[in-house]
Amino acid sequence: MTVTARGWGWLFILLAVILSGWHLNQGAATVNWLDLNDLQYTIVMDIRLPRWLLVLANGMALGLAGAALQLLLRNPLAEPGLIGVSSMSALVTVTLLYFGWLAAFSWWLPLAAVAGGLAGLLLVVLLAGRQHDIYRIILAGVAVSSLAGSAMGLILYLAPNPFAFQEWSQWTLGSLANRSWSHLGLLLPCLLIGTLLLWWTRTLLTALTLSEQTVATLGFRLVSQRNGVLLAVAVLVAGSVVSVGIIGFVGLLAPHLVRLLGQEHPQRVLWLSAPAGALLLLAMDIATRLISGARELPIGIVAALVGVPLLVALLFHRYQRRFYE
Amino acid sequence: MLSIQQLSLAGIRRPRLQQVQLQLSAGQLVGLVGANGAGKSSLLQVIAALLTPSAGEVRIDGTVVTSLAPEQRAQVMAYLPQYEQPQWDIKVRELVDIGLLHHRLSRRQRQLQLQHVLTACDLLQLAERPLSTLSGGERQRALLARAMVGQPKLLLCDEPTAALDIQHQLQTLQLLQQQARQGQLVLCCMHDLSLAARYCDQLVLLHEGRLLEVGAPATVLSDAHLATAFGIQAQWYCDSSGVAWIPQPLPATD
Repeated sequence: MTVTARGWGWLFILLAVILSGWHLNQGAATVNWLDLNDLQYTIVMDIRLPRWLLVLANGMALGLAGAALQLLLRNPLAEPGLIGVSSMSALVTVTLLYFGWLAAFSWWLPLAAVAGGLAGLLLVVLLAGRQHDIYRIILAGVAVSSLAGSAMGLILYLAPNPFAFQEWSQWTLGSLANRSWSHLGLLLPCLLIGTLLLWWTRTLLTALTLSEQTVATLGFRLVSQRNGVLLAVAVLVAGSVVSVGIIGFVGLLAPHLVRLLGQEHPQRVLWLSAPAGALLLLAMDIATRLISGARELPIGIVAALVGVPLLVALLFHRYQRRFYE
Repeated sequence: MLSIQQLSLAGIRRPRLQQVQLQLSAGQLVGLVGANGAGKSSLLQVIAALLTPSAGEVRIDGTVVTSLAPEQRAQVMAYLPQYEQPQWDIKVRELVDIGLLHHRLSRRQRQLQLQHVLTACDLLQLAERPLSTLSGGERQRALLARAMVGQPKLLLCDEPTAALDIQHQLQTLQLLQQQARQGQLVLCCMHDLSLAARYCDQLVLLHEGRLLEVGAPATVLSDAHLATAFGIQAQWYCDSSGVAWIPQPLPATD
């Protein structure tokens, strides 16, 4: 029996509902959902609900950003975290916050993070050259990521603040602990704008199944539409970074999960990656809290623990699969 | 239909095209022939507005190609590059549909056009198959169907028979000939001169970026032209079913 794209979409939503029930019930306090007392109401409204929504929105943003980047670069290994977009966003955010140039919930913060992400993306594309060769993109991404990571470390090392490294780890490893509605407020507009930009550029992403040379003859305004996709990726990643820090691999895994289910068409990969990303991050957050002791592990660590073996498996798989060449 | 005026294209060591002047009418299959580096692919790419000429212009039905908006250009012409490797393993029907992304058609018209081209290219049975399950020849037919589906006035193909076995080469050229008979101008880069002579209505011979000759295959593939453009001589054998040739290097001169 073959399941249609719509069928998988509904299945993702059903699974997300089941995992959401689990996620909302995780925590030190037991909550009686049918009869909330004042304390339970505060726990649900101020801690669990914003965290749950933040997980869903972040998963969707990262899934969409990863899929869009893979489709745009015609490269199944492209991922915002892997190719330095997230690191550059984080570098700008940490710099501005650390030196006190912007407040934690300033509206300038996501804008600055978008600029940082875009700068990272452009740097990678320039370093990789016109061919968008898969290995050159990864190498350029590693260079940009390392550069951003070192710069972030240097800034914080030189700063006369003993809590610098704690601050640094929160941004580079990504954490969903102690998040509030304000964090969600930073992410949701980015998710909305990014999704609208991807809706506008969706046909280009389909056409990029073929070479850029062919796509240039298919009636696209290539430069403006390609910039639209790059902006969408930067906006989605920036929203995620300013709300929870860097969470890698969700953007890589979500589109591959969709492809593993037999959905190869760019439109289906793009839009199904949103619920797939939400589902992955939800499962990762549940796992994070299950394996954490008294002190909660950053979710970025769990994402990397799951993501790195899968990335290695994908790299090996490439040698065997003709079509990814 | 296609008018090329004094077209030049700059290159690194020498100009890639020099003052090419060409007029071609609709309803024919035209082969672009010449040695490697003669400028065949460059000429196709300038016509497709992928490269900007350093001088001259290309007109289709009197309109300068570069003055058309990208969407308009996509309605008028289609381009099939030499090496096309679809990145994602989509179905044949979905691949062909990419050729209609910028055509304002109703759902019904779209389906009709898709059905028409799939039938013409003998792809109906394969329409729901993923590309990874096709042979090289079938995949090339699917790519050609993508270029043909918008029913462009001008179809540009860069070596559409490269890397195909002889049966698929013949099928592809027959398909392109059919398109030409339906009123399109089909312009193809070709390396196999005997196939070019057999299937093309006209040949355009390029040599070092210059136009050497345009005309019927028998005129263009003369001894003098073969010696100049390819450095060879050939014996030709023609009968009612086709053309064959034996190419040989030119005799050494003291």
